[in-house]
Amino acid sequence: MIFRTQTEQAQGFAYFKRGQDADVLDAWPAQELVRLEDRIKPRDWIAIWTQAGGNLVNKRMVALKTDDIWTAISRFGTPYPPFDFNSGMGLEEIDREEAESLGLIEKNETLKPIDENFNDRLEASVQGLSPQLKDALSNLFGDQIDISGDTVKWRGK
Amino acid sequence: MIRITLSGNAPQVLQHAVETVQRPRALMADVGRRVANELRKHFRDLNSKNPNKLGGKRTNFWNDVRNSVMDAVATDNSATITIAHPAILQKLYGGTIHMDDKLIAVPNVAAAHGRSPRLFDNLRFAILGKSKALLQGKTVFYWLKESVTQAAFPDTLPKDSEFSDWIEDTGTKHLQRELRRTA
Repeated sequence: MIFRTQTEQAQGFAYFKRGQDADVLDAWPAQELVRLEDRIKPRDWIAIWTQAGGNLVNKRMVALKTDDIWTAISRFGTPYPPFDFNSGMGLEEIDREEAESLGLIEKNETLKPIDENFNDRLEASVQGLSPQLKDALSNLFGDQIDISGDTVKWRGK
Repeated sequence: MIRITLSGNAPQVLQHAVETVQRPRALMADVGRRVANELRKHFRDLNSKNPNKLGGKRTNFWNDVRNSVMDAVATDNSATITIAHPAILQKLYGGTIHMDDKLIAVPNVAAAHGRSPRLFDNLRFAILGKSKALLQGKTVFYWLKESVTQAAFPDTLPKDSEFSDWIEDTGTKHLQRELRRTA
């Protein structure tokens, strides 16, 4: 399940990046959360969506690609799918004309693409790691990581 | 794998649009994206309407096909969409599958669907009349075949007229958007 989830995250990120291209974002500014695969015990995504602050438009879970709702519904805190383990949910793009008719975007409004990197939220627990090993990590990775408390966060660079 | 290229035979409105817009590549990318998105919807629809006949745990084959639809590669006068699933041609055209020196295990019960015989440790080989099989107890889990012939799946791809409608619709919308901005 972990392998599949991580593979889907990589695919989701690639889809997200291509969707944030300025031309694509202009022509396809919104997206809809839809069920791609059935599940025996499906999560109540309508409830997750509304509790996270999302609006239902004609009972559909639709929003601009740049809306914070996508990060808010994600267990992983990412604006791209998968939004939870084994969820069976995915995204379908909505073109500009439909987005305008749904009231998601104004006629001449231009969206600013989101600059997100795949490892922006990469972190791991270092709970139980000895101070010597934490020092070793710091020496090895330098400014690329940030260790605070029991968490090490990837800063990249 | 299948590649669908939208170019010279596209509807006249698209050819006219390509000649009119300042950035024809953006137009082709837009049209290509529409076709890729519609293909994804089509395969999602097939996935929801076509559970396996044996029942059991679903493999979501058509959703895998959906995930293999690549975004369009656009030039100034064409857009190419690739469906990179290894089994898509078999679905589209049908045909006979052989394995060089092995037998093909065809599931016979729901519990065997989508699972390799290697995942079971209690199957036994049997010859039943002229057929070879793998049994669990007295139940045939798999038939073993030297080859399997499958018919084409007629709804694998949307109809040509649907492609034309999508191209025409998105080409028109793109052109209207460009005109609105330059007006």
